[in-house]
Order: sequence, then structure tokens, then C-alpha cells
Amino acid sequence: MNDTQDLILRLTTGLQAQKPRLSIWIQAFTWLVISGVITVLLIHMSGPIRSNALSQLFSTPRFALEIASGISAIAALAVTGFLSAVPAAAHRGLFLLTLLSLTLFLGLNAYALFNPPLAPSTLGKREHCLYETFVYGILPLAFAWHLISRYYPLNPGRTAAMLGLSAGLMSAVYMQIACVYEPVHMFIYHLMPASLLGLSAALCTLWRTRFHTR
Amino acid sequence: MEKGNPHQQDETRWATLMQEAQAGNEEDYRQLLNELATFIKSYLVSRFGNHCFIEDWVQDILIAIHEARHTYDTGRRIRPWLFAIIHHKAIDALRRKKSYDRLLSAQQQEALAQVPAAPNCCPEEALARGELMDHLRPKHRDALVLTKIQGYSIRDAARQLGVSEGTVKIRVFRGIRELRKQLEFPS
Repeated sequence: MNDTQDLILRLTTGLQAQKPRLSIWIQAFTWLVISGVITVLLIHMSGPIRSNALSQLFSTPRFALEIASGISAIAALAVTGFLSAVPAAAHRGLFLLTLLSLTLFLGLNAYALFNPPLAPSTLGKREHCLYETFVYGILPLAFAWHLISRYYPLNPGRTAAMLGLSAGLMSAVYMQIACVYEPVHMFIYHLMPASLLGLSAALCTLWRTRFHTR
Repeated sequence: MEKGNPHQQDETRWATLMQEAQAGNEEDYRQLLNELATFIKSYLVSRFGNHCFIEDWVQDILIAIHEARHTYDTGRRIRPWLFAIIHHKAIDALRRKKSYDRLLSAQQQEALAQVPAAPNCCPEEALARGELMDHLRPKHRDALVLTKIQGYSIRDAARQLGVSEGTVKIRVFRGIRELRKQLEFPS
């Protein structure tokens, strides 16, 4: 018996039946909803939101579009991140769609640097919004990692980056409602920590897989 | 009655066997892995050539299939799922220079035993039968052959090619990237 035959014998002996799992799509959407609710609750518990934010959302279409594009980027990153944990489940088109969603969101915010839809003001300023954005994303990220660790991401660094960015953007996008509306402030104090969370998740995963290669 | 083509027959049979394996059927799982071992080996040989380390790659892939078997959705085709794992593990193994270590070890053992190398282990000849390597750009292929197949260090490969070490590293990186693209999107 050669090595391969021996390996096959070892792999097939004592085989356990697999427990049926929830669809990865359902897990992704469940995570989105639960994490979104947790993020909003945490932000509300730590301080009031900007007093005129909700009225601005209804009265200023471009601001509403910025928020909507942020939510679509969060959802696209989450779905693609979860699907990438299953070999061949995430198609190339899905990655492209995710990239487009993210580009649209960042593009709208970049355009706001030159032509903001709302008059920039310091109303609703939060003293620690930079740390809040980062920290509030950690719990959803840990929850996501717990769910997908039961699968088999072929590119764990990329999967972690997408889920980390999705988790970070949840607090970043809601901070655009809760905190001041000032485009430069948003890039530095909201979007940057969200990006850092995605980068940290990727680096931690790559470091871990270096020692536990699959 | 229309007969299914061989790919379709494999698809149906493997999907059924994997479903049985997920239910804990050892015999069906053994049959599946045996068939996959043969298939994967011939696939890798056709793409990379008949090298000494191909058997190691086959075993790595079988282990990955075993670890990922619970992720296969019985409602979907099995071939895309299989090929995703095969491509990932093959590129991963090439990048990690496992081939270099094993080739070097095999060459050292052969030198000690003073046994001539088996024809199938001759890298240059085997490479001529590897489709993927043939489609690489010559400068990328040369860098990959020297470092990953023949076991040259970056420094020695740079000396051999008459370029800097940095250039060799870039060519190896781009060669692997080209291989990955060819595996995922064969022309």
C-alpha cells in the first residue's frame, strides 16, 4: 500500500456523519441584522446622536444616498466574506459587485469633501468617536469569525479583511448619523478606524495561519 | 437514450458519493477519495509535469478535501468546489517551496545511493509535458523552474539568469500569479 492509499484509509476510518448546517446566506444575513442592531445600540448607549440627523436623512437626498451606499457596501462585504468561507461559493462577479459598492460609498464621501450635501458643523460631536468606531466593530467581527471558522476559507486573510471592514463600516456609517457631519472628520475619525479594523483582522488571521497552516 | 459525457458522469457520481460521505458512509467515501486521487494526480501532471513532488501535492489536496467536506452543498455542482480546493492547494504548495525541499531531499538520497534518477523525476523533461508551465512567459518560467523545480536559491538563480535577486523574486511572484490565473481561467 503506498502513502496515498494509506492516507485514504486513515481519513476514511471512523468517519463521522456531518451535522446539517444553516445556509451560509442565512448566516450572513443573520449576522448583518444582529451586528447592525448591536452597533446601533452601543452607539446610542454611549451618547446621544446628532439632533437633526434624522430630519437631514429625509430632507437631503445626497446624504441619504451616502448612508444607503454605506449600508450596501456593508452588506456586500458581509455576504462576500461569508461566501468566501466556502470553496467556490463566492463568484468573481460578487467580488466585483462588492468592490463597486465600496467604490461608490467612498466616491460619494470623497465628492463630499469638495461639495458636501450638508453644511459641515460640530453639532453632535463625540469626544472619542475614533476609538468608538474601532471598538464597536470588534464584537461583530468576533461573532462573524466564530460563524465562519466552522467553514473552510481558502483565503483566510481576504475573508477576515472583508468581514473586518464590514464590521468597522457598521459603526462608521452610523457615526455619520450619530456624530458630526464634516467630510474630513468622517474620513479621519470614522472611515480610517473602520479600515484599520479590516486590516487588523487580515493581519491577525495571516499571522495565525502562518503557525496553523491549512 | 443520450449518454452523459464523462465529466457529467463523474459529477453525478462524485456528488452522490460525497453526500454519502457526509452521512458517514466510509465505503463510499473511500471510493470517492480513491477516484479523486487518480483524477487529481493526472490533472496536476498535465498542468505542472510529472515531478517527484506531485504525489505530496495529491495528499495535501486530499487532506484539504477531507477537512472541507462539510462545506460542500449537495444542491450545487461538485467540480467547482473541488477545483477551487485543488487550485488553491497547488499554488500554495508551489509558493511554499515544498517542491524544492522534496526535490532536493530526493536528489540527495539518490546521490548517496548512487542510483540514477528515475526518468520521471527529470525536471526538464517533465516540464516539457506540463501544459501550464509551457504557457508562461519565458522569463517567468525560467525563474520558476530554477527556484521551485530545480531547487536553486534566489542568489544562484539570479547568477544563472544574469539578473538581480530582486528581479528573480519579482519574476517568481508573477509566474505564480500567471499560473493561478491559468488554473482559474484556462484559455
